[in-house]
Amino acid sequence: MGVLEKITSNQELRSWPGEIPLENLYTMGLAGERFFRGIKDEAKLLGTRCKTCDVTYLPPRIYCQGCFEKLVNWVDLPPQGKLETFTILNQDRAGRPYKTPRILGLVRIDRSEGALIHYIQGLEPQKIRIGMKLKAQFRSSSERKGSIQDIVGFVPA
Amino acid sequence: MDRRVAVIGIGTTGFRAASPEVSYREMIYEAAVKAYSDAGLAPDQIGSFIACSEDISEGTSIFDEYCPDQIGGARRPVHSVSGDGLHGIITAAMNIQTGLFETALVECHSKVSNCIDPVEIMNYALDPIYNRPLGEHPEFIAGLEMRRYLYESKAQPKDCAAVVQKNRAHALKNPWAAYPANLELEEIQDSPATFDPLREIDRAHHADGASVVILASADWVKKNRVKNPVWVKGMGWISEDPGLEMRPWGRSIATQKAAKMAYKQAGIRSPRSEIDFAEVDDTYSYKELQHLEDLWFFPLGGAAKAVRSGLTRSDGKFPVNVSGGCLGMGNAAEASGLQRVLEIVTQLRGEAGVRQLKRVRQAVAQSWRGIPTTSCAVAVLSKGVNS
Ligand SMILES: [Zn+2]
Repeated sequence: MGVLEKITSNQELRSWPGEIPLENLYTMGLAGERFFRGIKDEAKLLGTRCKTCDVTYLPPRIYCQGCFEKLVNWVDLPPQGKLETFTILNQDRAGRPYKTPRILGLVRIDRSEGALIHYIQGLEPQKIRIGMKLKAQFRSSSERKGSIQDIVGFVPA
Repeated sequence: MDRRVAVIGIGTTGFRAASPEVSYREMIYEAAVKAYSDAGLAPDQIGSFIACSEDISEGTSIFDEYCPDQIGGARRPVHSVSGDGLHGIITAAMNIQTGLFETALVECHSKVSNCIDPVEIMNYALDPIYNRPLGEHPEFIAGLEMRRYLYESKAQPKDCAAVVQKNRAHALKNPWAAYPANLELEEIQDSPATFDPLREIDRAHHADGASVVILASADWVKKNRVKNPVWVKGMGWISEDPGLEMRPWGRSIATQKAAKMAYKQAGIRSPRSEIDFAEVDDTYSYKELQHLEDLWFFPLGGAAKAVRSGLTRSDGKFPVNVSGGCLGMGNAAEASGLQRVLEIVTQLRGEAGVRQLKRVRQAVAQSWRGIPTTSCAVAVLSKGVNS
């Protein structure tokens, strides 16, 4: 077995750039269709419930990961919950600093085991506490398109 | 038939910030040549070849096709695993345990310096319907998790700074490490917050490198009188809830369960007293603390106390990431997991030179697959087949 001779001069280094236009469509599925229709049409959160495991899924699933049974029990959930954790974003995806930092929170939705991750609005960072009650703020019905962005963010309940 | 499995050869290029003078295949070839040389074997003595990689990071669809030749596996049984290096080790061990193969080789590498935009690759791992539309930097997830972990464990950001200080300092004694540094706690704490409470310096830098490990059955070890086998005594791997919304945020349940699985196989009842040192995932500083607790070495909050008191330093009673970890060596994707095995084997053989630990017989390696996953793997490695 050999050992490698290596290039020792920067001027001799060659590379070839490659790229592909990587685009995908992601269908929302049975559960996603119903969830986002609930948000778009009625500004409400829908979960699915497994009575056997005593678990309410949000985002909803049509099967239970615990007992592996089909889930048919849809429940309306209050668009509010407890802040489980949050982070203050000082930069965007390209690493450019935000003039005004953004705040993302994970809100554990009441009467479910699930949560939503969204912006926290109307609170100074130093006023935010884990455990505080927050409620979802939806866009107006004419602005809603059936996506997670139909929610503006969470505000104090 | 004795189907226990041992590591009998290791090879690595070491990790560096960039590697422009070689292609990824040449880099892997170098690590493979070293591993064959270490094991005293030739490629035709290997039964099964396993390569760990992720197409989108490699920039090549069906990357499996680009794995065989540089590890000596052309026209031989090869498959790739889209998992961490520890998943590769576990797969190789199970290949041997089937009785089909006496030996197996595992390869992992990182050529991340070739990626124009690794953040976009990480972002593409996020759920496309619930999380990606927000359009934020995917490391917000580490910010969320760090805050919850600190809240539940009552650890402080300065304890995370102590992890950075320790691991970067450990790397000073590791020639394979890309990011050794002598840092003051104050300058670490002054590092700007990116996704607060996460600071820029809490995150491991990327690195290039390739590593190869060769394993064999106990039958083969005995027959060939291998002098310094290191035994794979326990293995565990778990994937928890894929979604960000239904998982708990303070603990690594996948690590807890993978550790239980591995300890049960290894017959370990009291991890802290039966394990001499550990190499664990520290892609982000707080992850080391979290992982140590979820490996059952410390109660919740105990890892912060341990790093504060120096217990987990290379000269402490329970050294953690004496290699420098990802923070000190660099984050080399799948290869980081394999490197933990390399470090443990080097230490257990007594070949670690200036960073050699004294009187070590048994160690644990743990990996996490990174943002946004909850996939973890654990391996128990031991000097003696019965120790
Ligand atoms: Zn169920």
